[in-house]
Amino acid sequence: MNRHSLMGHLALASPLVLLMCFLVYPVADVLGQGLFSGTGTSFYDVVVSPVTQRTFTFTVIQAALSTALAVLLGLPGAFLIVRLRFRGKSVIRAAMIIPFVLPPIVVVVGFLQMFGAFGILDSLMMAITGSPVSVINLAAGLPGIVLAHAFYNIPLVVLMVSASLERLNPEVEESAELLGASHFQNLRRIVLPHIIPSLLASAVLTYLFCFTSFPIVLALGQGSYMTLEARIWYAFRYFDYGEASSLALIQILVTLSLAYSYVRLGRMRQQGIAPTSSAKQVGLRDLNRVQVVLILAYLALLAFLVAGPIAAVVRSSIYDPLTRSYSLAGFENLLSAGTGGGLVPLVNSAFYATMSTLFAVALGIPLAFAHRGSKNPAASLASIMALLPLGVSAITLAYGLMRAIVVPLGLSSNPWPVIIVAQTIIGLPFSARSIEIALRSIDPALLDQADLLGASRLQKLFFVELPLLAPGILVGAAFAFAMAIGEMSATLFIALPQNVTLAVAIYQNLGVRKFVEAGAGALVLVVTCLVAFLTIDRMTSGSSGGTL
Amino acid sequence: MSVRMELRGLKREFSDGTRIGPVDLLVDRGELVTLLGPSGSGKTTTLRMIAGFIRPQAGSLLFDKDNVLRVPPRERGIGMVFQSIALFPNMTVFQNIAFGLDMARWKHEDVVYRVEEISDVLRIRSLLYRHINEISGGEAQRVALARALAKQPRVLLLDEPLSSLDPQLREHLQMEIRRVQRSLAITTIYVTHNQTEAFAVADRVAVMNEGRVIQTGSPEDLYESPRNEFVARFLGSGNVFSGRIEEVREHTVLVSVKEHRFEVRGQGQVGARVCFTVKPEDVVVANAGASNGYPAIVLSVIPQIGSHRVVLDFDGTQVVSLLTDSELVRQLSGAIGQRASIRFDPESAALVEPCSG
Repeated sequence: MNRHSLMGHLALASPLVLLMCFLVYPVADVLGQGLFSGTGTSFYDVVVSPVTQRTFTFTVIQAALSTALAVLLGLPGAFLIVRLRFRGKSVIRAAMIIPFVLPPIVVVVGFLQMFGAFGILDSLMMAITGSPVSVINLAAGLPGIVLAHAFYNIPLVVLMVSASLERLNPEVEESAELLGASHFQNLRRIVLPHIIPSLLASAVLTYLFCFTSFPIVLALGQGSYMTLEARIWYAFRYFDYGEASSLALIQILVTLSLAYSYVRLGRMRQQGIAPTSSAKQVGLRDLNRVQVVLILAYLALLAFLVAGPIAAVVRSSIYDPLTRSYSLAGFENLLSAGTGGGLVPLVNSAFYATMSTLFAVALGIPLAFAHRGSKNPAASLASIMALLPLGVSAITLAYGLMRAIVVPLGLSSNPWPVIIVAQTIIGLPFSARSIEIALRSIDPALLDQADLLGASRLQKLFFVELPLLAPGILVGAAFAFAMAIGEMSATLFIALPQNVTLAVAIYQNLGVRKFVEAGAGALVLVVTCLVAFLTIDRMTSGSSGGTL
Repeated sequence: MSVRMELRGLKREFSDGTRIGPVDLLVDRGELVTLLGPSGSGKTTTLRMIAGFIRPQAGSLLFDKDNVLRVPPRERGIGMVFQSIALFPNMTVFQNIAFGLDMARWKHEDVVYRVEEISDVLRIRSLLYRHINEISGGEAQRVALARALAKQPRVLLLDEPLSSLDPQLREHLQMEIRRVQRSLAITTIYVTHNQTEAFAVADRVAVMNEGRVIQTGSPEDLYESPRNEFVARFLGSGNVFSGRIEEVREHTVLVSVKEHRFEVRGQGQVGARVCFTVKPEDVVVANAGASNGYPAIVLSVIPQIGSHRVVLDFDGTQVVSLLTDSELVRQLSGAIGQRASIRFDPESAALVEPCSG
């Protein structure tokens, strides 16, 4: 083995070793504790307890409902965006990625303002009915949780299914038509079989996200509705480590099998890949009136459900539903450095997110390189490692880090480095994937050309590959930054009062009903994430959906 | 089963300004007509108007006596093979071929019988239970053809069906398509931009340019007497010269091309700008200094089956000649970039119009 390839192997091995230390070992420790340890409730007792069974059932059902709603509302959108010719399509398609980079807690704020008591919808209804008290509150309990999850995942379904639909060769459909297939038969026999892997993949991913959803359930469920993820957190807070670990074990069995089926479905999708062909399109003028009305109604519903809450965040930063008045107290609070002030969380957020973005990119580059040579075992190990954080919930990760890193290393009094570790791991799948996509699109002939012109391995890396990768790296960084700055679950789990981030502060402010303070924080996060989105969009020229 | 198909003045203008038509074309019962033309000449659009995917703004499309323009594609009784083959990737070969029959709600025994029958005609019986991703490009072609023919369509449309195959396989499948088309006697339009392919499979060839059919005829007709400069150039059957008529004789005219004069069969008026074509095999090449030739520079000598193709530069006009005299070829090969001389009989040159000059 020559010196270069040794260095290469070391560079590739470092992210794997770090992930072993900070992801696999902590999680394994948690799971082992769940099965074998004596402290707290035993695994058997947890499994047979009616509370666990109720929580598990609720988790499964809310995820199923959320997924069904997201697929139901997303599917027409996928068809519209591919088949309908209209102006501003590229803008809408690009904007689809926005909900994905928005922090969940911001979505909660937007939802409360849009659908909650005395929110925009409620104010409207109150004005119509002339009622002095709140009429409708969709931002609480099961409806709130399911709607918020749908908000998140409708764009996911639209992006994944439309990408697949675009790859359906229009001549295949025309063949079927000439052979006598009606529109419906064409849909059932040709189109549906074609998109089903993507549809399933998007449903599995949606289900996975909803299954482990934490901030939304915690904030909108208000303690009376709990998922496994929320119960793990409560169990940890009440020092029942046995229960927390057992629940984490149950949850990880589900999430890992979901993540595995997502990867399998991804392979299925890759098999049928054809170049994006010019999909069959119709203009609005070719449709009849009923179709146009249906489409407009659908778009209005989407605008209400998806764009509404984002816009509502702006109102939430200045409108206090308690006093029903406008104030700038939220922004003043953001600049106050005292206890309960927003300045410390703001600084914390910026610092943690910046650090973890740097790490996520530094680890993402070698992971992407390792993944590229996708034949050797190191490559498959790298891809598993890069995807593993998707299958391990944020709370499980944070719990593992607390047990395996914070306590043994004596970081309990100020665990800030571990927050950065958690945020790095959560952002890693996205940075690695973005960089990998950029890496794959480099023409191998370019590298051969550089070889022929006499470039060494390192010269090739620094003068050819990395410059070509720069946009991909920036996209990965933007994704990782958006994920990190919006991260609330793991951070809430680990953070002591001096470590609170903006996202956590928003949650805490909501808890003590300081709504404008929460709103102002949420607006800062929205603006930050929009900047991240614009960066991503600029760099990928509108094809950012591919990162999913 | 088969019909006599007639396109009368089919016309379509697109929002980007491209105009197709009016296209007039007659395809007799059981005849195979190729639509030949450069890309962008409107071949595929014409085909898609026949299939019903593009609605013409004017004209009529007759199957025997019926105008089918208002009939939806699925009821026109058309079998079509697309350029991309477009087999259904989620089905087996059998399911692909049976698709049209299933849609027509045939009984299962009948479907099996018919699929086996047509797959025998196309010699793909052994592939029936394979998946689409398990068959080769040539096999996929046969399957696509079988699928298009299974329901015994009234008209068969082929849109550059062989363009993705390598030359040897292409030649083989051209013959296969011809054999199957003849044995079923199905009215067929075959779109291609490849002259050799068009000539190999067609009863008649229709040359298209700029959205119109310019000339229709048997391959021999087209080759022997191209109607205009475009056809001559496109078929590669003519060296095209342009000049001015200087003198009119009994059966010929004297055309001046720059400072040289050629005697050409045909009639015209003194002073008119004209083009004339000479087929490559009629251009006689000789060494420089031959008595009654015109001077030209040898550009290249390329061996091909049965002859050598010699390209010369005659005062800025490229002239192609086919030579069989191996001694002469050897001499010319050694004289690239040097002078030679060309000439031809007045009888082998023909005036064509219009002329772009």
